[in-house]
Amino acid sequence: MKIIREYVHAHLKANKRSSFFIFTAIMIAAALLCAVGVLTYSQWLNERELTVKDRGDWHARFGEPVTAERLKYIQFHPQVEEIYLESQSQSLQLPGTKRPYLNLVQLNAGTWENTPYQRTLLEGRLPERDGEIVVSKQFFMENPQYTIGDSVILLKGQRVLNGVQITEEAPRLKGESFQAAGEQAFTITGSINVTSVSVYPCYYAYGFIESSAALPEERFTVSVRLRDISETYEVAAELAEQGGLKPKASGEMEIEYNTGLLDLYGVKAPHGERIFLQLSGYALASVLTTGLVMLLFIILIYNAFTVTAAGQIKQLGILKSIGATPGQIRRVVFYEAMALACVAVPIGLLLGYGGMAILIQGASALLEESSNSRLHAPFSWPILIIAGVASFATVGLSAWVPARKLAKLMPIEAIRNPRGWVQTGKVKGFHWAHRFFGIEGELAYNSFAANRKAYRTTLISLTLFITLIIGFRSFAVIWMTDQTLVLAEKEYTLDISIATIEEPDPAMLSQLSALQGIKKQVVYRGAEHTLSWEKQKISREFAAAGGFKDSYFSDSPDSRMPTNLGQQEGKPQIFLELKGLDKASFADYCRQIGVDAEQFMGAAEPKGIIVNRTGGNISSFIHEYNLPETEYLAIAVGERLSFDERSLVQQQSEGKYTLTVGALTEQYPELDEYHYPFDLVVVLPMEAYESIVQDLDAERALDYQTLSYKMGIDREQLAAARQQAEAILTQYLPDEDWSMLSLLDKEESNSRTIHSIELLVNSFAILLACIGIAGAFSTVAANLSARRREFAILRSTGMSPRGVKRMLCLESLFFGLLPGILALPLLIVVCTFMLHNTRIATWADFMKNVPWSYLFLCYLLVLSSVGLAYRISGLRITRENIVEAIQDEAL
Amino acid sequence: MEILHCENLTKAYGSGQTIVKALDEVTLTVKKGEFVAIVGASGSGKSTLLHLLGGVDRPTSGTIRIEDRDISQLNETELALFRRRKVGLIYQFYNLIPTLNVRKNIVLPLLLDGKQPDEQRFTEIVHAMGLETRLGHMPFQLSGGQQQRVAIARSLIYRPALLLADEPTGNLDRKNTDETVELLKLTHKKFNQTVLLITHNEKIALEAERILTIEDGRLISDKAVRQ
Repeated sequence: MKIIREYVHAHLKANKRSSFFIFTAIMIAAALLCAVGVLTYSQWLNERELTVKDRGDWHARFGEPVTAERLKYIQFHPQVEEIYLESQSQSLQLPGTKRPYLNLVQLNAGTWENTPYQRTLLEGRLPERDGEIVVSKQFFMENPQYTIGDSVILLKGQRVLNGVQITEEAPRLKGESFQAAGEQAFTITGSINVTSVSVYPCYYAYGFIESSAALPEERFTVSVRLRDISETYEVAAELAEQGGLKPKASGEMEIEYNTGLLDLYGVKAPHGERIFLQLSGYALASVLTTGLVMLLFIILIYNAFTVTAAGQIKQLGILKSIGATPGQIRRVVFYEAMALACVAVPIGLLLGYGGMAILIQGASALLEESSNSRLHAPFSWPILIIAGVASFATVGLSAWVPARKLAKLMPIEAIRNPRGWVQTGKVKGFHWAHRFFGIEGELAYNSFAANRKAYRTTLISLTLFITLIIGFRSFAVIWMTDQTLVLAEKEYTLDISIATIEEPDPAMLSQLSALQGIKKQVVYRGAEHTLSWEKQKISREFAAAGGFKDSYFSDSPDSRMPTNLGQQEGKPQIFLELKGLDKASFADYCRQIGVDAEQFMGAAEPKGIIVNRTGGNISSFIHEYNLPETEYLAIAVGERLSFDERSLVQQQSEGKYTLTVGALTEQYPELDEYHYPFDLVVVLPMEAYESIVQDLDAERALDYQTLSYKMGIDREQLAAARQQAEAILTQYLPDEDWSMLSLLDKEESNSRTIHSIELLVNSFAILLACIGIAGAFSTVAANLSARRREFAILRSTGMSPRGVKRMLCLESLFFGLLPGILALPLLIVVCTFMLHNTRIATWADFMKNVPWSYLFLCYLLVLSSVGLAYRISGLRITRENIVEAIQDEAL
Repeated sequence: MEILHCENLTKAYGSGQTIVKALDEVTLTVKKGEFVAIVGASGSGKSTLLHLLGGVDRPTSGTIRIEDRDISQLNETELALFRRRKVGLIYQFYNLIPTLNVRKNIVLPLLLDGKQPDEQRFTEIVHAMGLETRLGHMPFQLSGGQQQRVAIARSLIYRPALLLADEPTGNLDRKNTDETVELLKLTHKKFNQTVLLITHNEKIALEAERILTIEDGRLISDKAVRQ
């Protein structure tokens, strides 16, 4: 109705200050909703990009290769959008090169378009036709006689050892040979950034294959992308059947799903756990965050409407008294809300999008240094529309309650007592305020207490501002303190890993051991195997604690416990960690546990120390799952134990070995490694370890022989030691054969992560601060304006201008201090929750690092904003003509 | 012809021992075209009576029939329409909408109904109130007397069955008081308007045809005035 619109427009114009406050609140709500949408979308896209980069854009991959002749049943299925083919890997023999083979995998056009390898191209171009290949950069570095564009004719075949084909991942094995099966001409079109350790005898190469040109019996690893991702689990099983795959014993097809990608689209396995409404984690997080932001702003805007409606209530009462219906009154409030929203929401959406784009750019630059993440703020109409609808819904819901209340009000109540509509709290006698601050103090506190509902908007936003800023700062402090304590608990500050199957150069090890500042060091190798055990053959203490319970087994249907404990034919399959320590380290360990090291040296059969302990060494697991911490198995010194080479129940491996128990202990060697509950750790001298693994599967040699060298160096000398170690390693080893991580690297990475998150959270807190401060000005101005009469009466009864100022000053003090007081319990709850989830840090550790400066600055900002608002609005009160103010009821 | 009849009208505030009866079992009848003054001391309940008759407040018990319609039974929307079309209310403090100009304030009840004012009627009222030159002004640009005239004009625009005036001169000087009373009398005569006027000024009350006296919420006298 035209008159309603006219009235609202005129009212908005005449009440610019309160209109501006609501306008700002709506604008910020829209900006925040848009920002949440853009950020979530950006993170989702980033996650999708990383998933695709890491695993590819396929939805399902078949566990067995499919022959070329059956491909058509998959390729032309109406649900299949794209088929990705990877040939079985084959070796190409290279003449006169450092490594003797190329390990070739051929991909079809679709795979090339979506493969992670595509992004690793360094030079040249990707293969586009049959016979073209790209080769790893190592190939060109180690064999400079080859260049991009070269054409070569190579023998195709397989690596074999004793007549048996060797797996493609196997290192160079003694006695291995090449079995040729033909030859083919290849053109090298480019180099890719893929490396392999030097003990691997192949260079990686990727070629191109046309599925139509493949021989009928040629076999491919097939992945598919479907038209409708939500149908993946149903359609993939059907495709596997049509592709000629045989079901497993359980009747199910062996299919691998790109679960990371499917999760992002909210697609879950039919029998798997279902998230609420089947939403993906991102959608759920987005819905929850949007809901929270909406709720927050509904409270904020509702309060803003309540305060401004109080100023308008007399007019609405007049309108009602001359015949405006409840519906018309509701429309006045709604129209006012929507009139403001129509302008504020688009501006807010633009600001939210623009602000988030800038923030994301900033955070992205920081994140790129510490991770692979690359955030960008894409433009998306759906996000803008959803954010817009959510913003209007927020405004509508905020206005709904005041609109209803106003519509129900009797006209005479509204006309007579306009301030009475905003319910004032009960005012008790605040004698303490009188005692400390005199009558002005009592009056100030009474006024503040009576008006606390009007101040609620501002109090909420200022409290949240303090909670968010200090809460995040505390999170950063707690997390960093915890990380520092975790790192400080570590015995070693510099970890070097050397991937080799040969004994490293003793000169290199000697130089490394002579690095400045080393306080302690350990050199060891490790292998993971299995011990098949009897359920009853356990220690008395463990039996008393209940022995092997069903929930301890990782394959038990209701187990959520992080263990490596398997089960086969009713027998526990214990995960074994075999640790071979160098002579000095082993002697040191023996000394610690009070065992003679000599008895382990030169024994006819390998002899080891069993760490016979149930709970592992991860204290958070022990407490969280209430694990027993007792002696583990019933083993005696001198007993011979037989181990299986496989480390997982489902692994196929025939390797077995026996070991004599030389000593039993419950103390783990100091390796800075986490040992899971119910794992069994066996510690051996290096020579005994070598004698065991040399008889095991040669193809796992690299796993067995990778050498860990850990050093404990003081922080002050760490940077220099790191540099020296790098120089030594580079001198003796190719870059791809070693890696190094120091305490400083970990701390740097932690700090960068915190910094990039801080940027986003602080921006959110600043937005809240803006609302809080704008709210403080508006609420205080509106409130003091409505109380002109009250102040005039006080002045007419003899209160001096100084007294009025003092009263206002005290009122601002109460108002400014309350958010800080309210935020404290919230912060304590938040910090307690955070500290509950840390590994080591406690309240005592946190108290040493409380961010006092942030706390002080936040409180100062809040106090000064509120104080300034009172100061500016109070000037008018003290200068006003008393009679005019008392009689100002004309309109 | 009877235009208003209320019976056993009671308005109470509070409950239990703290109950206060602002109006206590008031029964009253007003005929069409009558000019009635209601007098009484401060707090006697005269304004409460007027507010109940005007439908801006609800009685605790009793009935109010205006033009044979019991307004105490109306729902919120029906009551609003009743106020808009059947009652003209004039307050001591004018109660104009500060953000609308004089013309809009006057025709507001019609605009709320989505109707355009009858220009002849509008001109007639504006002329009678002497507001021809003030139509584009905002309320704050007018004197108290002028604002009250706008309020009277607004109350007349819908040809209400009842014109209810609650101390309309309480906030005015003598000159404006005389003018306002004259305008009410003029309205009464010219438009045969039924008027109920609340005042504690005996001189003004004597301008009416009938004077009702209220004391402690009860109607204690009902006298006709000789003109």
